[in-house]
Amino acid sequence: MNKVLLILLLISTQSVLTMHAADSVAVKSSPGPVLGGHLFQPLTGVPGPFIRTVSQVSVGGGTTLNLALPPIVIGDRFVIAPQGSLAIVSMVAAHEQKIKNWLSVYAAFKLVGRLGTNVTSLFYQGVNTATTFNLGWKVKVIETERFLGTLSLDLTNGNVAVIDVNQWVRGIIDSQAVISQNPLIQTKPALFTGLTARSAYAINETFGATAFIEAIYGEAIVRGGSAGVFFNAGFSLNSDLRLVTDVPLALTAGVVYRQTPSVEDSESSSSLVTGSLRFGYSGTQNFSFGLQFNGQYGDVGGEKQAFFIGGALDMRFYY
Amino acid sequence: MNKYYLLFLILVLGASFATAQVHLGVSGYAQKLSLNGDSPEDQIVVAELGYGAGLSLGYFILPEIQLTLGATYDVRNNQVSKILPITDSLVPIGNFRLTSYAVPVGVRIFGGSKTWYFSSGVTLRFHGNASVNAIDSDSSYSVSSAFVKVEGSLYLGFGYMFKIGNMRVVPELRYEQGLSNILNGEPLATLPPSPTLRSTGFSFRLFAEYAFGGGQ
Repeated sequence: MNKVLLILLLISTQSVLTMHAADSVAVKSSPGPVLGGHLFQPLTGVPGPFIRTVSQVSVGGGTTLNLALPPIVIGDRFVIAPQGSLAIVSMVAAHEQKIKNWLSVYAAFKLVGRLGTNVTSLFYQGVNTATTFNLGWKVKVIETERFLGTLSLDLTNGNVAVIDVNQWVRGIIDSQAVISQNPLIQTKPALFTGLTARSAYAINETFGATAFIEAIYGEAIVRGGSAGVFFNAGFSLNSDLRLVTDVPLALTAGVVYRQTPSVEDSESSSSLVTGSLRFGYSGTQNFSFGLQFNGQYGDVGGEKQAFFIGGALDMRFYY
Repeated sequence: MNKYYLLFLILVLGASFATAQVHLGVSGYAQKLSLNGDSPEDQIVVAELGYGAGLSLGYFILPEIQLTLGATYDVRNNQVSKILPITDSLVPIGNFRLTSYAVPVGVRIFGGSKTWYFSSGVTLRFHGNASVNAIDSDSSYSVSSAFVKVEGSLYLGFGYMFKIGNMRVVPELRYEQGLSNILNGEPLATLPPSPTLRSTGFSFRLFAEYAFGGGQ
């Protein structure tokens, strides 16, 4: 019996040692994100699971909706109740390189700026800017004719600069002098690492759905804050109207729940929800062009309110 | 019972070496690693050219995936400059040097032609001596106590394997991102509270390895 077991062990071990990494043969190779005959459109905020070589450029902006900020009180004297809006500008440049059919590596550079649109909101909120550089790996876990699942691991290194005029003036009043411990411009490096599970399902050639869930461990953006674990999740539904109306138009709607703090929405004291709608061009697999509108709903000052709307132009080139 | 298990072990190891390959060689590199994060007030730290050299080991677990391990002596150089007010021009005031022993552990994943590859892994640096050479007074100060003894970082790179008989000459360009704060945590008057300093930068490496058994 022992000899039989030993022979079986030898045979199985030889098979393992000579096994090659298997590439899936379930899906025909295509430059763009095609699965089950459906061409998926990317939605900013919902990371896609496709292993492709793609370059991306996105430019976006937005504004808050009559954000009500707490009044400024010095001592027991009411000074001013700031009103107005905050403008946010963002830019993303990214590239993903397919190494094998089951592995890709990606890098992205993101710049976000946020500032008040009038004197009072500019004084109260100042100017925040954040630059982040993100590196990641994406590995295919499962692929069938209609379903694709991947895991990705990424690292984000960022630098946040805050020009807090309100805080600076308060510091001058308190210390009665301009001191180095109270700088006008404060910078804070921040490092995040995240593990994301991504999936795509082709309902039919016209409709498809993508989803993701993400766990992030990172440093606080605010100096002195403690590092923490955050969870994000999202879902999107894509429709390719080209097959129904002969018009190369794709509509994509999505919802993202996010706990990770960000410069753009630091007014929100907790997690927030972002709804998105994208109008995209679906005439080719080699190029993706779309206009995306976002609306954010979150907790500001202890009260749930929709407080941000924005838009973004997104272009991607598939090789 | 024992001789059967010994036979099994010998056959498995023999099959392993018959299908996989071991590369052993040396490596040398030039690097520019900057210290990203909090610099002292009115000062800026700029990366200068550093270098390193050591041993490298590679083991193919699959025809297109190679595990790599290295042990190198690593030198990092940075220049500390003072930012002049109003003009914001830089005046060099000191040269910072940090020596360490680095152990990179990672993988090389080869493309279809099995010549170009993508590499990724982690590097552990065991810091030795850190010093600052003041330019004006031409004197050197040890600042080893300001830095932690072990630093971890992540690297990504790509390279190409040239085959010359059983020799493998491999140039590689690598980007490295520090994961840990290299400051010792002691509060310094010239730094913001909770200061953070991490390494980021590029290195160009050249590996010369011997492929035992030939083949890939």
